[in-house]
Amino acid sequence: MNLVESIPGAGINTAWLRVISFILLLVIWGASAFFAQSRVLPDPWTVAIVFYDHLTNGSLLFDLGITLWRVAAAFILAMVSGTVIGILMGLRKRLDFLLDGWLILFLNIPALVTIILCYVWFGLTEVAAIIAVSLNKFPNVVVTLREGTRAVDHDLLQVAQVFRVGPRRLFFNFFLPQLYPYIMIAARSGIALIWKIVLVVELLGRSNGIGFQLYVFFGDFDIASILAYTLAFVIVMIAVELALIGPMDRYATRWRK
Amino acid sequence: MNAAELDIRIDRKAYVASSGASTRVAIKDLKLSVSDSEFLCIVGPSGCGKTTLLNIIAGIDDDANGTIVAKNDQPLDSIRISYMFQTPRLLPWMTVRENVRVVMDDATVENGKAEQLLGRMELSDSLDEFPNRLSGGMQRRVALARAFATEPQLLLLDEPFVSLDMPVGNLLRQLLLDLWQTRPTTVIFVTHDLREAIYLSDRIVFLSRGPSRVILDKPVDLPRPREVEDPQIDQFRQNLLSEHESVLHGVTSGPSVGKNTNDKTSSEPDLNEKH
Repeated sequence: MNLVESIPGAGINTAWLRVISFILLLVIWGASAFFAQSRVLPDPWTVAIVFYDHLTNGSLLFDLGITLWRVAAAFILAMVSGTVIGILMGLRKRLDFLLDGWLILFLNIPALVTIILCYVWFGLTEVAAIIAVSLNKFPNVVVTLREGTRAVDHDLLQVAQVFRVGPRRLFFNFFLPQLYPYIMIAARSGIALIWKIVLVVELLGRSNGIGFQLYVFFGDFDIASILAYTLAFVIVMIAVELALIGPMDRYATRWRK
Repeated sequence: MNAAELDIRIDRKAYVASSGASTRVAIKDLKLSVSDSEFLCIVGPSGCGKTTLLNIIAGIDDDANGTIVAKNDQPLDSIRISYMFQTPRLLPWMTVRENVRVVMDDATVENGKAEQLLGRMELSDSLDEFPNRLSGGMQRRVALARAFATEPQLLLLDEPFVSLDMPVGNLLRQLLLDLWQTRPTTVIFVTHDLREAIYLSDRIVFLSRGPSRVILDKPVDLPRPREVEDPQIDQFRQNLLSEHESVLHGVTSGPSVGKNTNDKTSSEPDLNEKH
């Protein structure tokens, strides 16, 4: 039996299924809201109107921008520092043994603890917020890139050695491209994690951003606004995946068959 | 600059098994010299340490006791070395052209040397392809172009055509000889295929089973250019094998020595044998 043919769903037009699935979700939501008739479960139409209202009259775009900026800053900080440390730990056994225990410790500290400690030690500042978010992602990047470094194909590095290519070429042309798949894994899971944690950080110690606004709406019991903000948030997330991560990934792996 | 001229002496090279204290001696008391622009073939049974020897010469393996001295005491790390491995070892994320350019100096890249070499390999139509889309033979041709791109003084080849079928392998052998004759360089070519060695080389050095050392040093005095199907090659091979019956199995014995005859001496390793 052909393996490709045996994959479930192969050959079916999956785009249609996605559309149907989305409509089905709206129908279930709408029906639930209709039968519940409750302030805490607004129907999709109400949320759409509230969403439009926040978009045109409220601070939705501003909050979204602020949060997006924090996500980007924390993401870059965690990715760069995590990649550097991860590669070093993958290359140097002694450093690996030295830092491995810390890494396990960091991996197991709850996000909330990191956030509280960052605010206590560095004050309720923008820098503390960004450090808190990136610290939650950092150990994960280190572990992924350490794995990637350990899996590097030394046969290719030998080519660089024999032909005596310079250190720059060795790193950027022979070594780093082998880590692209691992960097992409870390980036993908990183965005997903950071999106979620950044809201908690804003809720606890910032006076703007999506997280802060959600906290305000929670106080007002304004569920329609909470759902509207969530909707905006999810749309941006999907857009980032489609417009940034996806094309980057395709470019980096274009040489595959 | 001239091609390399080397005196190689390896006293001992051992591998320590990762599991414990047991060591396996791969090379012991091996002496070998190669002269300017010579095409030297090293023939030996599988697993006798031929690759290890090349890696030591290339400087990839620096964990061996021995010395390699170049002519006029030229420091070894100033000799331009190229190495063609058993597998092509191309960078899959780079195009054919980039794979050749990446080992070259920026100055020579400008001269279009990469394109010129790839043209001689009849790869002009595939310059911007990625290696994964090429056949095994084409990948070998890229690797061959890369090996000559740095104008090496010493070219090491480790059974580079071993997994190719006959016609493709023969084309590559011919391309290698063409390049070697127009861009003279000292060549050390490792193989376990005696016919290939006779076709290519000026001299064949036979290694013993591990721990390997030189058991026979045989000049190949056939005129060039040679034909792959030339009966002289077979003649040369038969003479050699009747004179040194089990030399391909890494054992020194003339026809008069009978103690190894129960060995399967007649079965010469096949041209297309894989490891």
